[in-house]
Amino acid sequence: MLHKIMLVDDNAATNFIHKKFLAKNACTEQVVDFQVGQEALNYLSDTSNSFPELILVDINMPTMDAWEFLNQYKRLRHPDKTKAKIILLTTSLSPEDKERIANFPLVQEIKLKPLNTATIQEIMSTHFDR
Amino acid sequence: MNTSISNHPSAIQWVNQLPSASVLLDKDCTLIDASNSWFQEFGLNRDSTLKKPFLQLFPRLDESWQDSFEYALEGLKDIKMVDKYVDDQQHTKTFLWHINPWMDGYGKAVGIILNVKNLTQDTALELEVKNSPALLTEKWESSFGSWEYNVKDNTVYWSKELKALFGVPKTYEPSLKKSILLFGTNPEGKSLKHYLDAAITTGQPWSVNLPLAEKNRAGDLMHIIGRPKFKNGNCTRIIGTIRKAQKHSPKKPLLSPNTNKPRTDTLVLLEDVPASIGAIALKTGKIIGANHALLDLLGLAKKDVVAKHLEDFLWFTKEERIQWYRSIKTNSSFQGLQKEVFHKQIGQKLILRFSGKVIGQNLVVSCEDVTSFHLKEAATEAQLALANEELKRITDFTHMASHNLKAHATNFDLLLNFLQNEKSETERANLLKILFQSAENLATSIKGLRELVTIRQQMDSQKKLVDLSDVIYRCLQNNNGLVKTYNAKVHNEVLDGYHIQAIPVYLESIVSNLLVNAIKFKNEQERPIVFISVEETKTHDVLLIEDNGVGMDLEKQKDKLFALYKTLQNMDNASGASLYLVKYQIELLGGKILVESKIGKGSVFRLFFPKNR
Repeated sequence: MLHKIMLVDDNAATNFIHKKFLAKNACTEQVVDFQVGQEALNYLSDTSNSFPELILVDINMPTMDAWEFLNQYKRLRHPDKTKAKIILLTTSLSPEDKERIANFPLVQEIKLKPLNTATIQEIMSTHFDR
Repeated sequence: MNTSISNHPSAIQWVNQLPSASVLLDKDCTLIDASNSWFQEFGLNRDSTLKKPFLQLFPRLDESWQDSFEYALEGLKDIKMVDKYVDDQQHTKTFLWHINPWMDGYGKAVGIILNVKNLTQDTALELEVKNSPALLTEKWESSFGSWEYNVKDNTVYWSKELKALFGVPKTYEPSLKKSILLFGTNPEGKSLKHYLDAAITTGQPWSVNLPLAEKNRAGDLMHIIGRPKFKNGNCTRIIGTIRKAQKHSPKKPLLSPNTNKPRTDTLVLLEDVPASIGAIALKTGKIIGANHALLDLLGLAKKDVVAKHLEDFLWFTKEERIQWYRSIKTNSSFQGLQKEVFHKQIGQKLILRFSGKVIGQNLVVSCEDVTSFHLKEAATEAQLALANEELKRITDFTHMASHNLKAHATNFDLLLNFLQNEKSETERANLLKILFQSAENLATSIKGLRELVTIRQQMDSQKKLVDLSDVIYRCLQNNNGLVKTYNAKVHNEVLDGYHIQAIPVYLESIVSNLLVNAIKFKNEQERPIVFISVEETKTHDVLLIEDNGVGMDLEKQKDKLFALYKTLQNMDNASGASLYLVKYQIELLGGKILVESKIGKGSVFRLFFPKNR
């Protein structure tokens, strides 16, 4: 079981649904969720918070999209940052997005949202050997 | 081998775009295509005239035109025909038609190209007529005539123009003997009889100068062309033309008997062609000739051009040079090379298009002024850019809407499933709260989509004078709930009856969206205050909407301000569509929007509505 997963999605319902599925699959002790990228970054830069092992970020967010989020994430200094893995989420896969993640080695992959039991189990086995 | 002009689609396109009134006919003299200016000049509809026999379109033209076309197809260049008639409004119109063969790379005629000049308008041409000594003494019509010799019947026919040329009455009956005796022998000692015999026995066509033998006009050189016509292997008739010889008239036969052989006499003919043409020797790369039409187009004198390299006065990039060279190597021709040239005499930039073909040892280059075509093209491009922008807006919006709606739809499905299986009352209450929020988000997305549909539906509406104060009043009424909830104070300073040019639906959407934003994005602990006013400039009515709200960091976020589905950092509950739609509508009205703002210090939106329709 992971220690902490972070959810970043402007849609509150999506975050709610993802929390439900994560709980159902008992894959993490704690979930933190944010609707605005900047707030998630504030949380991550606060060293009094433990760093999540997995960060799920919606690509298409109005205030700060995933690409802006990633650019600012690069500048974060947190001792545990290197252990964290990032997966981007979207409702429909576009070829441009696929090309764009090539510039962000931090990103493991793009997954379609909403996540379900099958995709969560797949993520856990591929990226965390669980 | 290509023998029909229809096999040259590029040539055909080219004709339609020519700036001068030009026509392309195939070997059967049916209309392949013509320039738009030609269709306009003669009031013809392009679609209904294409593929029609040319002479059917102009019943007023007599048989001599058919002969002229045949001569052109035989290779005779620049036959001039005058077309004079009285139109419906009793105006006399005069057109000068230049008839030329359209040659393929082997010098074989594959069709006819006609150039038309309206003499009634073209003063330059009238001047040319006056200044030409050969034409001073004779009428246009009499400078050129055609003849035919029927071998079987031994009869000779002279056209009325030819009779006029020789100064004989219209009733004059020519014979073969009379015709032959008219002329003396040329420096090679050959008479007309010699050429006639050669044509009948060996099929050899001719194009020579012979002096007149008539006492009173002895020594006048006439240019005589003859073409034998064959039926079942026998020469049955010979057709031809006679005109006064010009200074530069060709000395060699126009056509060699074997038409497949590349022509070598191109240079001599340059001057006769109404197009702008020059020739470059392939070996040296030096220009060996340029006709007046080309020199005029380039704004250069013959001495600036001849024996020079093309690069001496036209600048080519390395890529162009390579492309050009390759094209000549592989296709023996190049096409559509465009260059901007500054014409000193006109004091203006021209866009010239060069095409060329290898003929014999030379590269013959033709040049066309496509400046006006380019201007039209630029206008079309601008229109296309607008249309593309419009298309991008629609695509963006549909993309956003489908993204959003898809997310909402799947979320509803999952949330309702959770609700169905949930036993805990607190968790059920939680789920319901989320469901209500989602429903509200969905409504917002659909509202944006509906507004876009409304904008699209009204796009063809005409602008009209709209009472601005009325529109503001209605917007305040419609958003009364919001005004009350936020305890907002709205000062409307627009005078009753102030009218502006707009499409009513757009104006209402613009005012409503900006009013809602001004109230919704308020500073915490502060009562929202909004001022609405109008200023008049010479060209625009400027609507101002000022607020004391949260304001925006325009330096950092100006890209996001009017972007679709983008919201600014301090406005997280924004829809990401309202300013996008405002900008879209004011631009459709031909206006613009300007913003001034600082974080925490409120915002001013200025909307410029053009006064003209």
